[in-house]
Amino acid sequence: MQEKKQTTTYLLPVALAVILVVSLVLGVFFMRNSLMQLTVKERSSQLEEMVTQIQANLTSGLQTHWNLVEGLNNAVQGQHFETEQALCENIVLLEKVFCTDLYGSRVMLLDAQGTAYLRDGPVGIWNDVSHLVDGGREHTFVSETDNIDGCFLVFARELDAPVTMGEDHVRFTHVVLLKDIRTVKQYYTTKTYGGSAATYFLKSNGTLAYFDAEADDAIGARNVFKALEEVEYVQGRSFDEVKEQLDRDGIATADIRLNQTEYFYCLTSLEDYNMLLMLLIPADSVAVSTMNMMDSTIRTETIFISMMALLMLLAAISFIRVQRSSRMIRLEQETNRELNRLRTEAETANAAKSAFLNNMSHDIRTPMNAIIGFTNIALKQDPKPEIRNCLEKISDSSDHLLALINDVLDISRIESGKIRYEPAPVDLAEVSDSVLTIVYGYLSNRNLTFRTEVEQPQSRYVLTDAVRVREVLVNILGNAVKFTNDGGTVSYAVSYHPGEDGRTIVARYKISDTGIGMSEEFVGHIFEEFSQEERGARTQYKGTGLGMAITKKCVDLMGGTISVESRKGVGSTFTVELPMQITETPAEKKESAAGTMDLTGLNILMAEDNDLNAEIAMVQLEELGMKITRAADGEEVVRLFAEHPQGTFDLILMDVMMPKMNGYEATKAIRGLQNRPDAAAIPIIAMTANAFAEDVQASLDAGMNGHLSKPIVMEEVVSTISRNLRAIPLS
Amino acid sequence: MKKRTCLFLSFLMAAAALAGCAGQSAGSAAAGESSAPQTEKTDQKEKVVVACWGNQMLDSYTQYLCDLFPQVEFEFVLATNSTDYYRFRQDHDDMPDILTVRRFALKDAVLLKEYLYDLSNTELANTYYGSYLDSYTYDDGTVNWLPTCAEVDGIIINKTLFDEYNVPVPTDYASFVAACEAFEAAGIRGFVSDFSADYTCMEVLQGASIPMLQSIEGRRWRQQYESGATQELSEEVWLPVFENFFDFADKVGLGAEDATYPNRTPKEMFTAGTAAMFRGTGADVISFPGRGQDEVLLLPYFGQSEQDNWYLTYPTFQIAASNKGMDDPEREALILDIMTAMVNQQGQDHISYGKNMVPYKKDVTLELMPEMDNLKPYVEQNKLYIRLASNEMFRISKDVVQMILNGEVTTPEQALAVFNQELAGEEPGTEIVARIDTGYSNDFTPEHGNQAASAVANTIRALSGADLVFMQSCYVASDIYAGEYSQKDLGYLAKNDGGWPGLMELTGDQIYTLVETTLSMTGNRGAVCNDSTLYVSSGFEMDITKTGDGYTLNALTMDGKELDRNKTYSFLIYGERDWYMSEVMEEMGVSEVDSTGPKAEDYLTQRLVEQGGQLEPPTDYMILR
Repeated sequence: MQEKKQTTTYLLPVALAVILVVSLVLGVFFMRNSLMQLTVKERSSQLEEMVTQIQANLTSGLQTHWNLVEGLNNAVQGQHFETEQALCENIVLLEKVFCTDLYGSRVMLLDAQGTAYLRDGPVGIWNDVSHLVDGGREHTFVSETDNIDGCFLVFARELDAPVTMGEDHVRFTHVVLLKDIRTVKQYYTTKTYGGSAATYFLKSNGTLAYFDAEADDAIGARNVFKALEEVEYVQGRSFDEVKEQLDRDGIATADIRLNQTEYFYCLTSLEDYNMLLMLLIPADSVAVSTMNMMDSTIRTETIFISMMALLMLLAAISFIRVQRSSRMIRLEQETNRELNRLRTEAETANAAKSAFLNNMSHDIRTPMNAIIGFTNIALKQDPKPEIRNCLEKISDSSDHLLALINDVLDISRIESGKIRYEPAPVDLAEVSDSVLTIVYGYLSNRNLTFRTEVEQPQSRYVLTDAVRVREVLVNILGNAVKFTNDGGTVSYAVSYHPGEDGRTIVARYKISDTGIGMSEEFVGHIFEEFSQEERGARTQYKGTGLGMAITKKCVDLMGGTISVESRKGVGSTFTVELPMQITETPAEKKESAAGTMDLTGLNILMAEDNDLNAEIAMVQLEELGMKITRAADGEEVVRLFAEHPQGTFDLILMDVMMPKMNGYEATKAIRGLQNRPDAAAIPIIAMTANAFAEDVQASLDAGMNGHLSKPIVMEEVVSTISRNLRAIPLS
Repeated sequence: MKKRTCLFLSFLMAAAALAGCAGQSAGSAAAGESSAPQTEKTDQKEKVVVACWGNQMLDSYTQYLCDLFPQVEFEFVLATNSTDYYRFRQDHDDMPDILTVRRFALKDAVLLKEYLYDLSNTELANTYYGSYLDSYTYDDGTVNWLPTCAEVDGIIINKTLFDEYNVPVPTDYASFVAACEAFEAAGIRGFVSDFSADYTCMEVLQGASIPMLQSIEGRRWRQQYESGATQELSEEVWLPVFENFFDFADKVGLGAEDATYPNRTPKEMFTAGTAAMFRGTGADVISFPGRGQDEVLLLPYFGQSEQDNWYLTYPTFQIAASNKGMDDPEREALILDIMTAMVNQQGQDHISYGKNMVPYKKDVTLELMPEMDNLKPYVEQNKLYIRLASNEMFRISKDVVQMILNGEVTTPEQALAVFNQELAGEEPGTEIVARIDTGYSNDFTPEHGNQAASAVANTIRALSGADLVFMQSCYVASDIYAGEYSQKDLGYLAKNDGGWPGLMELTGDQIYTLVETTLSMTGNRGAVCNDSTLYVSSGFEMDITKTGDGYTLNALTMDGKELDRNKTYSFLIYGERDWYMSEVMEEMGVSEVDSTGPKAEDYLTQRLVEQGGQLEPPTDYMILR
């Protein structure tokens, strides 16, 4: 859809641009064509004007000859000549009187059978006598016969009264003036076209009567009309159209191509003489200046229109660019919207993921709690060695599974930002001590040499996240212990280095071992999730493959660096450098983790909807001498607390996710009970599979005093209960 | 559904097309496959059909063309000497490629204009004198026909006889009449002519009044007549013409008997010395030199004064080309080449025998023989009248002149009226009189010969009663088309003035001689120059071999058995009489021949019209090896 819209957005201007360019090209073409047609019209018009002028001159010139013939008729009509010689002498006389020589003309008399008499005598039947029989008295035509040498323009007139000759009174019917056609050249030619014009006299049927030109006859046909029918017409006219125009207007012009040369011809009728006059001129000689002007105009306009086309093109491109720019803005906005949407979706997904993690954590921990709990219970029942072995393996596996779950959840929480770097004043010595305390635990059943080299910091207190620092160091040290065979050595060295601005220090922790080491290839992937070097016997070194990834993320979280050097079979050295801001504020004194308080006789109200978990907790707590009253849901716990007199219960262990009323609501309800002064003070400890920090916070926010994650570890339970009971005066 | 309908329609169309083809095929067979072969190539030779106006062309002219164009397979047919014959051919879409005709008027020829090639802008036309070309030019400048050299027609006199009887050679009409009277007094016919022939009637009628017909008035009327502006004779011009003819007939002593004289009679009288003058042509001067060694002259038609004397002329024949196939430039060039060869110097030499005709072309020079010396000044003065030769002018002139000679028309006024009446009337012979059910082609094939000619020959044999018939196949002038025929149309199948029957008794031996002589003959009006001019036989078969330079006879058979050389057969030869028949008869040693029988067209009329029958079917009369 978007793509279609985008295509449409471009298609329109592109189509418009194409249409525009095509229109301009067509415009140029049509304009050129139109101008060419105009040019042809103009040239034709000029030619027709010229030919009309020639026609007028010719007609006028010929008319003077008719005057002459009229004079001859008057001079000779009705006369009788005794002999042929007398007749011929009279012809000589007539020629002299009428100065026919001056006109390039000769006088001829025709007898009734068509015998022609010139001044030298008879020349036989005149071949062209047939021209005189159409009923008219006067005839003009071009004559070229074998009777009389030469080509003549004939002016023949029937005598008003026949001339007779001899005793037989041979009858002469016509007097004829034979005008050498070359002498009328001045009338039918023009110098306008540089002498390139060819003149054709045509008979009315279109056949050639006379041709005169300096060059050869380009048409070269007797039937000129037929030849003109067959030639190529440059401007798409046909001879039929030309003929129609000729018949209508008496003059017609056309533009033709003969032997690859363009010509103009102009036909005009000499109506009074039953002839046609045609001028054929090479096109490049017709209206040359007009042609030049037109060429110039066409050139200029073509350039102008080309520029217009270019401008249009540029405008189109500009338009497209603007369109594109707007589109980009729109695209950016859309991208932002999309990003927002994605972010929202991500947040939603994140929330969903968190919910999922929470649920998973809760839903896994709950049965894990049962497994671990019952395993521990079973182990305490002094089972047979085989069963103990099985139970211990179940216990180990459960621990590993729990560690795996914790690691998965941790890394997910780090990635999703649930775990944040929360610096607080910390006593650096205490951090190291707490780490060493844990490591000593790891070393308790191992035959390893553990060396420590802990430098005393100049500034005791720094701002850092002790939990994360400890997590990092315990992870690395744990691995060192885990991957170093008995008899090996693990070293822990701490040094402090001043920071760049004097207000920070960099704590460098260097942990080395003489363990199995790592391959160079694996070292490059050590901080990747689920990376574990294949060692063939994986079960020897249990791990999730997430520990170093968590460690790296924690170091990154604190702005520090971690590096590793390792050689396979030799050992590994991890170096962690953490920047820490120096502070004068002393660290809060932490209470000792677990108490050793005697809990016998305590009355515990325990809210737990899961029967198994309830049973485990009750067994384990009752083993410590506590009395447990169980509530199966939130409402029941509230009810039980309310129904029992004040001071009945010393502490409440509150599951969170319960039917009817969850632990948070139940806590609030208890805290909100009126007329029960103990309701606000009674320690309420969350005992839930919701194990995340935010879950802890949520428990505290709901009014609870502590938080125990399932699966429960009895040491933590005892410690937590002890700590909370100490905080309040026991009743 | 639509698709199926289309398929069905396509099927129907295809079926219809096939049916059309089949019909056409059947029609072609019925029409003798008339329209197929004119542009086809035979054995890689380009086929060109030339219609010959007369058997004179078989003399050496056709051989000349065959020799000049060896790449061409010519088919020569002896056409009826009329432009109307070509109308008949065109009606059957079977126009020959090259047309020739002697009897010609633009008035008649204009009907063929759209089917003929325009020669106006060809090199060929450019070689003609403009004034002659003008007379062949239509109003739109088209030129279809071009003339060959001019046949000169006048009065042939036996100068020797004149000298013997001390009669002055005439110089004008009066002296001509005086000469006639002088010879009549001496018991010799002064002037004689074959007034049974339409052309003689027409030429003498016009020849006696040429000054009138050549006057301005006469020319004016003629122009109007030829352009179709008038369809009647002008009294101003033609009444004097008839007055002159009445006077001529009266003073020369023409009568009813003259109206029956066939073409040979005046010539026989002239060669016998019993006639001093006869109407004839330059060719006749050569053919009929009086009593053998006499001096003969060709004089003009005489006028009142010497100045009024004119020779009557007409082109030996006109030539034209069908426009069919001329859109192929190669064929167009070939046809124009052939036409050029037909009218160029060499061609005209074959027509005029080099000395008895006047050229119309600038590039042709024809020397006149001494007998025609008189003609020269007339040529120089251009006193050569070209006869008015429309088809109706021939026909009606004969009718009217014979009426005058028979005394049926007694005054010039009456003659003029009758003439005009016939001019205004319907042309006779145009109603349908016969139907031919089966058509036959006159294309020659080595397997079957000329089937149309065979059908005609078999019909002649069936009707004439002759045992055997032998005729030149080209006398059948076209395919025999299946369909209806008028009397005129029947004539076009086999009507040539030069074809005559010669019935004689011949032995088998003589028949061998006849066929052998015929096949080896050259320079004769019955000569064979190619397959199309071979002879057709009826009643016997010919086994012939085609050699490099002609044909030789292998055997003659009758029903497959060799012809009995000793047996005598009644034998009818149909062909040229004066040159061919006389030569073969001489070779065979035969002197008696009956030439009075019907002509080919008469036999066709007899069978198809009078008997209402059909032509005899053709037979395979020849084995050509």
